[in-house]
Amino acid sequence: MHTNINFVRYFLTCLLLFNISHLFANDPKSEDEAELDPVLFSMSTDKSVVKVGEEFSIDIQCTMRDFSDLRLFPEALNGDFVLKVVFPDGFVQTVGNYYHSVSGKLLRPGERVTYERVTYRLTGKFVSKPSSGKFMLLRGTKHSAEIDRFLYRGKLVIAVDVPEGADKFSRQTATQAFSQCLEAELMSGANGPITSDPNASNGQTRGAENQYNHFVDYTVNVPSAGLYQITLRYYSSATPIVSVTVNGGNAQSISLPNSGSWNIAYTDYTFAVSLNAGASTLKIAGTGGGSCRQDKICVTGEGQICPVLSKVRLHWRTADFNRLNGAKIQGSNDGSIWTDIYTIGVNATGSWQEFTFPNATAYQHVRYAASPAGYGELREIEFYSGATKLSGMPFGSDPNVAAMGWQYAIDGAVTASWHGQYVGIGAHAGPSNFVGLSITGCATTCITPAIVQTAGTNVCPATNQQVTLTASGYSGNVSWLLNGSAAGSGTTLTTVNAGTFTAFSSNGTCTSAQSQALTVVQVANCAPPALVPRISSSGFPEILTLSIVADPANPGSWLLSDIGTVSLPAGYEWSYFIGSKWLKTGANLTNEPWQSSSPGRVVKMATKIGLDTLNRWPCPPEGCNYYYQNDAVAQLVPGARGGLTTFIFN
Amino acid sequence: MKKLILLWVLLGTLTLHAQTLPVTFKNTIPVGYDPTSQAPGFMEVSPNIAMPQGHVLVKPPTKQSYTWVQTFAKGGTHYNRNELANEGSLATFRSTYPDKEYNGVPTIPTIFGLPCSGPEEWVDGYNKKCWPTGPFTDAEARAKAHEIWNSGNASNLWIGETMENFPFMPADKPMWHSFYDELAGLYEAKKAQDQKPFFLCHNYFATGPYYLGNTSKTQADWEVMYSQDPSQWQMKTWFHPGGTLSRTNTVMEGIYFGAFDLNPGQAMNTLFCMELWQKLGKYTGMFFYNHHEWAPESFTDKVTFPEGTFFRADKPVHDPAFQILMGFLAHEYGNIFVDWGTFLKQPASKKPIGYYQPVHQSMDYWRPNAGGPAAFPYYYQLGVGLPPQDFYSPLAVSSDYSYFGNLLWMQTGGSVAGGTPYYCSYRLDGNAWIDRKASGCDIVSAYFAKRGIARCRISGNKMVLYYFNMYADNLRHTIEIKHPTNPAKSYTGTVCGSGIHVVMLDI
Repeated sequence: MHTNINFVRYFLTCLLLFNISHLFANDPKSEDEAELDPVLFSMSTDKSVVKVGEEFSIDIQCTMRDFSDLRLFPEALNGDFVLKVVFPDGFVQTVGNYYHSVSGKLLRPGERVTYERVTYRLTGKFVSKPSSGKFMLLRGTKHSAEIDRFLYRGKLVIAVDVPEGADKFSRQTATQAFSQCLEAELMSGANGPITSDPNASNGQTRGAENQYNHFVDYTVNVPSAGLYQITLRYYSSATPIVSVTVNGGNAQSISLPNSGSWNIAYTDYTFAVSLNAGASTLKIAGTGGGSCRQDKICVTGEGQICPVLSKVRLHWRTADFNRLNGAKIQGSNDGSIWTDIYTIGVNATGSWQEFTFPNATAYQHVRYAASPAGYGELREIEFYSGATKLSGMPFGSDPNVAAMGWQYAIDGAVTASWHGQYVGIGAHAGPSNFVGLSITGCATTCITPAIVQTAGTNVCPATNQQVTLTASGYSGNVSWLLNGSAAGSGTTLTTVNAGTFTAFSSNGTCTSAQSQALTVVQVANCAPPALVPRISSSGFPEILTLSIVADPANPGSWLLSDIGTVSLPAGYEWSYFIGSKWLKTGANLTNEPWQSSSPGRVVKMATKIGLDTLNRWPCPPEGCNYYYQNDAVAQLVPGARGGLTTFIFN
Repeated sequence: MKKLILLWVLLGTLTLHAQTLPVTFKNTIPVGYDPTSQAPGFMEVSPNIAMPQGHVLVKPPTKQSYTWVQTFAKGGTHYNRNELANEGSLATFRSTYPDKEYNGVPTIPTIFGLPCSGPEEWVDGYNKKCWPTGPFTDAEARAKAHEIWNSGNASNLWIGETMENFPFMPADKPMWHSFYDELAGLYEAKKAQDQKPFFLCHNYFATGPYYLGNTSKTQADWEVMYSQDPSQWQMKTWFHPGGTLSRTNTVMEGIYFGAFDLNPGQAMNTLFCMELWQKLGKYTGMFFYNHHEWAPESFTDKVTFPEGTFFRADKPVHDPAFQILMGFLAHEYGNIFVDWGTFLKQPASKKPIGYYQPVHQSMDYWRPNAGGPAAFPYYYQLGVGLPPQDFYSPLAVSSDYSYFGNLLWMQTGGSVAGGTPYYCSYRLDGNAWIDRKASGCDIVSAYFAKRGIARCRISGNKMVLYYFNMYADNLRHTIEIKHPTNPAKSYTGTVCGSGIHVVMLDI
């Protein structure tokens, strides 16, 4: 009952804190709103204008107010607090006694010990020009770490100066670029609740704290087709995963960084989308991870046009000419969905061949995909827009025959050819063998990896039976998901876990869509082998020989016995350390219970009868005292004063 | 009256929805591991895995076949630059693995390039043999920081050996503040550019006044520190703002334990200090020696050969359960684990065994089988001018276990590394609940009560839940652990012994 009542108190406290937070959140201007707060918080600085790289300090003063008459909310708001300062972009702390979640406790005059005022100093500098020099001061209670809720206690804005020339350039660039911002709460297509936040653009956001699967449809309108940067402002208390689509297509899955708080502290994240001229519907929908409260998006860019692919030149190897027939030239703007541009309808010749085709669509990525019978076989391929040879970041598929990787098809030389693997795990003919380019100055999306199983058949965690999955054809760095949860990173993933695996790639500025799913199956009858004891280390057997046998009365338990033969010296008793247990006895250890299959250790020593601690050192020349005792432990045989055995079960 | 009704409704709701979920704690030994080979074997049974960003693991290559790249593939994040062996030069390592270098606890003469050639003469706490003109001036100390930085030896993981032996310079000398102030500034400038964390630690073990066994202090004296700002702590350290070591950002706890009966308390005190260092705004971790430093030093380790059995007297190895536990907790109470003192590049054949006559002549025992040679046939003589060769140590497998603790954490707690930790209320065998402490001082409370700790870390919908009891008996107990923020939910399982009990949960 006692704990139930505690729970109720705690629950009510949370409710009250929540309500207080919202009361103040609805009125961001009332920074002295905290009339119920017995602590007054303020920030001051030694420099209101700084240059990038110039160090400055902010003092956070916390002062106990005279609230002797306060009777409300004593649990929610008292002198106990934790502080969190939300830094603007580009700021790094260099010194100071402020740190994240620094806590303090101020007591009122008359209490046992009074601490009526405390000041924390935050010193640092901007390493780049921020979009805003605003520092926000948040105050939490002793419960804030648990419920991730803070109260707004004011802001301090530092003006950050930059060299005049750079500023002018920045303004000039900005005026030339397209820019449009859209508030999430004003979009008609959405399914999350509209919620208030003191720092939200327009004071409101769309989405809830504890539900990730909300979406907002933004209607964007750009003057020309091309690539645009989308900057999403949002709040989250865990890493959100969102899907981004344009008019229902070109899907991207993005793992957004966690903003670190469900309210007040937001994060901006920028990604690229390809838009047609005119109106488009940009849908940002939560698909997993933490919930994402969307505040707004800003669309910027100049509608950069990618070059239009109109020709390829290729050089085939000296055999298998028919495998060229049916190969496709493809393009993609999201690195995931590929559109056929041209299908090659002739056999190879073993020398340079050129294919020109009509195409009016610009793509960020172009590639060659093998015919149904093809394994690559290219010695070289070149992509052209008119007479201009395209350059960019090459990518290609795996696995391949050793020393015949796809890189040979796009290395500028015809001396070696590419050949996909044709026998063994992961071997495949057809369009899953590909090589291409992410076009320089154009591509802003990452290419979705393809994944195959390259080693092992199926898995069993209990016996450590593994498979290896390999990603290929991607750009950026690969992250793996198992049943939608993070499972690792890198080109290959070796795992003992069964389930549905997918992968995506990212490089800090873009995130690809998720790959196709690959199912890993667990072997039938996957069960751990029966555990048996294994001695890991031991010493002289005459001192300690440990017997470990199953306890017939307690399945899963063991009995430990010592069958060492050394005699116990007179005046001594055996000290056994069995795990952390110290057992003193006049006889050898017999059937001592060890009721788990956890690793352990048994130490045996002959200690002076009644010895209270082993912390006794040999006496120094000046004599013995409490810490020095020559005969505390007996020498049992030459070279050993004790026996020691470690063991595991496996 | 309305409040009473509300209270009644809430209590009723709680009763209706209370939920106790059974959990099975994870086996701490990887499947397939067999120590009876008497050769190191952690890499063969561990999957490729990575430490989460911001966590550090220094794991030496204990087996002859282990390589740099394999070490990093098993979760290693930094590599001791003094243990590169024959894989390549330091320059090669640096170019291949930028920012993965660990400086390997250099002594003061190594750090500052001191000749230490004069006679021994102790003055004001230092030895004029190394410091003939006394401590550095402010300008000299700052210049030294730049000299070291420009030499390329300021690795992102810097741990010094600065508090012992004849080159000793007391840590309260102002020169240290000048030196670290300048060096930290250089590190910070680099970090601002490359965003890579750095760890700057004065010494591989910490000296501080925070000792729970101090008989002049009470439990309350320690517990109150959890409710105070570090500036209010009664006892300050050199790491406090303004202190000579305040500009270092990392404080390591050395695990160099002595008598067996004192170990539980020593381990709890380590965790207590790590919490305090973090409250002080420092990174912290464990500098772990896989054997007892003293206990006393006369236990033998057995190695079997077809020709007979070899024994060597050496320092006693730790309990594997303790090694696994500490490898795990290093990342729950800090973010750094350094395995130190482990023999490198040992042959799987267990031979030859290194032999240094002045040390080993009275420590080795050979018991030949019938027909076997009278003297041990596989010695490799050390210190006699022979070319370097890999050799075996009878303590070979011991460091596998502390790695398994790190592995266990990567497989469990590592997936919620950025989450929020909580102590949890728990009870054993249906006895009275042991409530979590409001101030978070549970370690102090557990130390004085000689009891266990239930703790968790939550990120999103994932939770790592664990329990350990340094003072445990070896009998089974049923544990119930309350969810820290949802009192309607609790977990129950079986615990036994002093090792780590851990499980990952979807919540």
